[in-house]
Amino acid sequence: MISCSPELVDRSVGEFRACGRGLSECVVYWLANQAAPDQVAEVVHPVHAASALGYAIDDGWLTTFSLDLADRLLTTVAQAHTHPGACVEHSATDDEFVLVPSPGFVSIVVPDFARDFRRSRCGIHVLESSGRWRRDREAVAW
Amino acid sequence: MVETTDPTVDAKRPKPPATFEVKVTYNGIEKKLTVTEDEPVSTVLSDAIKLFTITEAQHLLALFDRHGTEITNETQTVEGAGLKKNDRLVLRQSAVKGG
Repeated sequence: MISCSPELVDRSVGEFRACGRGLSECVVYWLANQAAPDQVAEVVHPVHAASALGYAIDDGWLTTFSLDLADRLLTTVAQAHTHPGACVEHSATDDEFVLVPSPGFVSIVVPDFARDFRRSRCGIHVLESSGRWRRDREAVAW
Repeated sequence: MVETTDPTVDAKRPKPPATFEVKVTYNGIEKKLTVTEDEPVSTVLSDAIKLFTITEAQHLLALFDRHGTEITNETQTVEGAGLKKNDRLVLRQSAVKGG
């Protein structure tokens, strides 16, 4: 289970609303110190392209981000991204093109572009060692 | 009998390919990987994947140099790709997206 403070959750929602403006998808990454990977320490809003139906992370940003994580001894433990409607299931694209394709990685899907954010409406997915994603509300304490 | 080395013979013997360490980072974790200058980049990639015991989406993973350039020609050798001792490489998905 990873824990995320209300402040960082609010920051994530703020990014969704400021970036997506209720019209396009947005994504944030939750980072933790490598020495304490269960506690989210930072929220990062990546450089990305987006539309009402998806997002794509900027390639150059990804490399800089990766090196920065190593320099600062951080690691990405979760991603959270918005969907346009009420559906919070993982799409095939969500499944395959996740930032960290490693067991234990958490992916949160927020409905309605986060216009009316409620934790209970989000989908929380965890990547298993089998390569499948399972829904697990207990994976995040927030 | 005293053995002597023949410098002309020694000069003709091919030098073994150089090995050196590079640093590979994946999701913030950095590890050292020993590479050989004549091995293909595809071997470096597969060794890096094993180093981090990544079992999923392996076909989407690629190596990038610190400038963000993807090392795409996997048939190139380490030497041909210009990799040097202590180079930092990033192992990550070629594309990250959702929707």
